[in-house]
Amino acid sequence: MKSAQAEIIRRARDGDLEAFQQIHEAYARRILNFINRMVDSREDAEDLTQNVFLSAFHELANLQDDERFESWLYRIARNEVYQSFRRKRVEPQGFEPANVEQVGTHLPLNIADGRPSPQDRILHEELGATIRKLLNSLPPKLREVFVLAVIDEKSYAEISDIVGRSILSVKTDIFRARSQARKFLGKYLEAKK
Amino acid sequence: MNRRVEHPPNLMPLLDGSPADKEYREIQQHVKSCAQCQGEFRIWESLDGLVRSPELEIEVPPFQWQRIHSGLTASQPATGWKRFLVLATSRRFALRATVATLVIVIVAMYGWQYYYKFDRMNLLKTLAAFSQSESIRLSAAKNPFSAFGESAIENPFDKFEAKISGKNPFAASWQND
Repeated sequence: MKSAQAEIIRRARDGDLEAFQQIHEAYARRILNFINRMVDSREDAEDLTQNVFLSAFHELANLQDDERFESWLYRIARNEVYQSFRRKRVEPQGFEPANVEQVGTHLPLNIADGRPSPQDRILHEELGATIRKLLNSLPPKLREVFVLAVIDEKSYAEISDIVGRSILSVKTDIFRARSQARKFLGKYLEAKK
Repeated sequence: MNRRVEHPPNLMPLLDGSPADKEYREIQQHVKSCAQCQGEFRIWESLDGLVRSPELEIEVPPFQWQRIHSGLTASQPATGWKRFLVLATSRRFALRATVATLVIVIVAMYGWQYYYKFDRMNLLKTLAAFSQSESIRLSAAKNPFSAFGESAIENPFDKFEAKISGKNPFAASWQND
């Protein structure tokens, strides 16, 4: 499996667009969702994902270790996100502290059953909006490690590699982000108990 | 007997780590036997479950690859010698090339100096050897002019003197005078 991926990367590095399309198919969704959670704009996320793959294709020659391709791709995505923050010349959204009291005051979700009822569907949508608010309330430094750890389920070592911080710092930030999320989604969690 | 139980301050490694980690196994061991931490751990697990809710998942737009493809073909990556040119202009390559050039220059300078010294010494040695051998050879050689010695060559004027001495008509007068 690994060698097959290494072969695809090698071909893409040699300019094979078909091989690169396979890479795009394998990673585009993850990268798109990571970026979307970081920038909270579908249009921006799509544009930035496109830029990520264009950059990746041109930078493939500089990839040192094919085994760490995914982390390398996430690093490019992260750089794109931060560049977009800088381009906008605004503080990345989310520094307004979320009002914990206002969030999650609705009816509890019945998530235990895999098939949500129409009422649950509405509540799911509400939950989606709440999670977006939660992500926006986190500073980017915490948001990125939170998304990578909780949603993309990356290991501490991988996250450390992607964000360029020590594992200890990553662990601390994940703990802080989760604690903030727990406060934010407290009502939902109470309902699930 | 009251035994004070030490709860792990952070249960996250159990959520994020792998069973291969020592920290993971230690926390897991504790959580198994501690109801309080089990409850706490369930809350964290639920939190992760909520955040992973698919509500925020979006799909890749259908024409994204086409856009990327056209972007790539517009600036087709260099292959062959073009790729070499691209590499040659990259910062990393420039650094390596500079280091390699410096090494080559230093080696060449030392090499030339050494060769030059060696060569000069060799030349001097060769010249010394040559001059020595020539002097020996010259001293040993037969003097070519020795063949013109008195005995070897007849003086042509000797004969002439002998020839004219008897018939000189003025000889008597000279003698008489």
